[in-house]
Amino acid sequence: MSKLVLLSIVVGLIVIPIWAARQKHPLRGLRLALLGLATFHLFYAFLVRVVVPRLG
Amino acid sequence: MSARQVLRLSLSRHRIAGAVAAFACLLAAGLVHAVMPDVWHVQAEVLVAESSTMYRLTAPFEAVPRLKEGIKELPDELTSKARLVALIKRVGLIDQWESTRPWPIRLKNQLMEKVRGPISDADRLDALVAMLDQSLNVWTENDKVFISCQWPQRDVAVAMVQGTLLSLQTLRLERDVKAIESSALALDAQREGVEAEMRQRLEFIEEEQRVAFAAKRWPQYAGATEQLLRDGTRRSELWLQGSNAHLRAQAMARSSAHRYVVIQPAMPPRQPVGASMLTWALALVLGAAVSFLAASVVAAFRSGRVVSDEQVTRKFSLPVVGRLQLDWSGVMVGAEWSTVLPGLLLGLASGLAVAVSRGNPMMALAPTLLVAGAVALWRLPLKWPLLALLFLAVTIDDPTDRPYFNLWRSALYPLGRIFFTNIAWFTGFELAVMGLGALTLLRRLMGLSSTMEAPGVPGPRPLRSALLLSFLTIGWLIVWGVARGGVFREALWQFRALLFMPIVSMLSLLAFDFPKDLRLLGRVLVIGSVVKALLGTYFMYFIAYPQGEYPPHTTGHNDTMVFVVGVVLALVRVWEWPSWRNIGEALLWLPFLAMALRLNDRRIAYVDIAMALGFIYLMSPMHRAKRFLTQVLVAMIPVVVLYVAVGWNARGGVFKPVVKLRSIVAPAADTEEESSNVERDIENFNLLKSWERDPMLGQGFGHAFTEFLPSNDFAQSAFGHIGHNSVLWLLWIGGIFGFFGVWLYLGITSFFFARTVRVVTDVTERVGLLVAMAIILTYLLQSFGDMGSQSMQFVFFVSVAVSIVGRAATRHGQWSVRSVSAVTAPKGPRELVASL
Repeated sequence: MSKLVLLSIVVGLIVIPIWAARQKHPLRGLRLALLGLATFHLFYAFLVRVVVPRLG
Repeated sequence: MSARQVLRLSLSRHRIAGAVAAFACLLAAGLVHAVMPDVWHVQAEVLVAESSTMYRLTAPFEAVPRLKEGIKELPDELTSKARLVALIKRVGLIDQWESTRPWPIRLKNQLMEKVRGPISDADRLDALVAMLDQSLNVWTENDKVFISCQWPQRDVAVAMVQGTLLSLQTLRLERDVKAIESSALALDAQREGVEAEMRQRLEFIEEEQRVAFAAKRWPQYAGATEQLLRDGTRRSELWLQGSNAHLRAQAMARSSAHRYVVIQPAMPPRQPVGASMLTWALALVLGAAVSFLAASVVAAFRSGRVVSDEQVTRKFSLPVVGRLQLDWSGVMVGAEWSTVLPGLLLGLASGLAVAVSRGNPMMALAPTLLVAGAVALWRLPLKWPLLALLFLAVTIDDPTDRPYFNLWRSALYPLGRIFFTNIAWFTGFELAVMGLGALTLLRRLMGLSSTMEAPGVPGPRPLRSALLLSFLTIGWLIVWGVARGGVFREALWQFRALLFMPIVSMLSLLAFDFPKDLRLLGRVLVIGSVVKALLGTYFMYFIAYPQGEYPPHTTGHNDTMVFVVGVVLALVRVWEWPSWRNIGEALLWLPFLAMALRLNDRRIAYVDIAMALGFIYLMSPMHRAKRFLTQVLVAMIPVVVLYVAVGWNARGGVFKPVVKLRSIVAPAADTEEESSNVERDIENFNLLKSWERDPMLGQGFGHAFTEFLPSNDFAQSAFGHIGHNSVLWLLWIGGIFGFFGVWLYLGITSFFFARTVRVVTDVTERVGLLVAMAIILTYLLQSFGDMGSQSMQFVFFVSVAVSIVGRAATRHGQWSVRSVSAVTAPKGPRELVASL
């Protein structure tokens, strides 16, 4: 399970921009992708520091 | 105007320049040959025959040692510094050194002595050791040891090889006999210890008997008697083993001469190294003739007179519609320094090349070919050198990746050494990319980019900005790391592949005109991957297996990408357009790649293919093939579950795929896969713990992560400088900010892929886009699994993928606000047809 959490950054790097690309307006989509990626990176840091050690 | 006409015109007008070049070539070759000392090559060959009978007789229950184990270390041992020093002293090279040197070197030495003072014996010895290290070669092939030496004096060369032969025999004799003798002596010592204990026990028993008799009681020595019996048995065993060892040592000593048979002795050669007189003459004639032609053509172009249509078009911006036929005699143009000088230099270089290579005719062509290559590079569009580099990256061996398990060197190995290992601080690939970057910049400054680069906008601005951000972030991390005490030399190995990624991506965006160049690119990838697959298969069946070797991989770790992309390309073409032609073409190369994948045996390759195909399946619109596959997959679920469940504990046979799956997901205890996974987990733990020190800004380049838990793979990770898991390693290096900056372009590429793939209707372009994303996915997975971010091969693959997506996005207006309507277009070709 902890390996899947660690791998999630790879998935996020691909999936979040693809999800954001559904926006009709390209600039709005890009902003969403950047925001999504930045948020996910911070969330990932939290996962790795807090959740992964508990999963063992 | 044809090349023949240009040549004819050049020769008729500029014969003087040509003649000067030809004369310069002959003069340079003659002078250098006269000054250069002769070199003599002496070679000896020894057959090492280990007698299994000897082992069977002396140690019937022990395995016969493998021959290779004995001779593998010989080259290093025989060319060690201590042995070279001994060899120099034995031959007396220091005393006869000065008198045997050729006169130009003697002259140079005398001049140096006047400037720096006399050379000490220690310095002379060091110089001789360095020279001998270069000249003396020892290598092994199967059961043979080869010793060769190239030296300016024939007798010295013979003496060197004979001395090394003697060293070989002495070394082996010492090692074989002394090792066995030491074990025999150890056994003797052990036996003597047991005998001493036995004596003590006997004395104890006798004493106990006496005391018991005096005290009129039963003696108490039952335990001692049992131990005495056990010691007796042990003593007999040790005696037998010791005797056998002594016997074997004697046998080894006496049979040494039969086990090392000199099948080619060190004989004085009849003539020095170099070509025969005929080949010399051929090389000189070839060098002079080629210099003559090349110098004439160069002079013709430099003279400013019209020799080609291109000159007219460039001068007047008008096309050439007709020409006057010139007769052969032409008008000979007087020689001028500006026109003759380039040819003169070319002639001198050709002559020098012939002389230095000692009459090699091919070297006579080298300077002219180099100049022609440089001119071609200047005049060819950027995509050709990039395609050539990609082809090289796909096909040649990477010496840093243990190609062919270091058991074989293919014909492409020398190229691999040039392109994958350091030449002047950087590898050949890095130097080539830097050269191309400088060339592109120069062309842009000179306003030539329109003809040398692909037309149109080179990708959407956000993608280009993300590439620039990646470059700048890596630059920042270098400064940050070194400023915090990191070592730049270590940093250089850490960041080089990451740093070149945005550069090559930008060059690819400028160079390729997609979808026009997609077929060309596809051919390069397919031909390259098939060549690699054939080499890998040949190695296994014709090199490794006949030697009794079963290497765990064939070509190299990083070739996973080559095979995976080849397989995905074949399958995606069929997936997008299941025509008989596409199926037939896929069947042409898929078997080779499947075989290579099996022999290379990288678990991650199967994961990459499965993930890439799964991604493509999800991203594809619903069409007949997808509907059919979905139905088949749903119907197969119970069968697959049953198959996996039954085969979970199997060892192979029909359940081999399940065994492979288990080795990836949950390897069985005490297997190699389990041990590998444990080592990776330990390293990941160390990386994450090291990252905790600065999770936001990271450590920067030039540092090593801390080994909180001891790991067996620590040496493999360059002692903590490069992590197997490049994702966690990059997080530790760059922190969240650095990671975001370095790899943001991958996210932006995904963004533009998703926007573009929905509006693209051309099948080739769709295949290109899907394969591009498969490459990026494979890169990320390989980075997560096994140092993916450190490979120059991946740099070319990912850069091409980025450029495919970037070019397609701009072509389909996916960064233009005016194209908003385009996004609402139907999702795929089938939907487009359906909507009509």
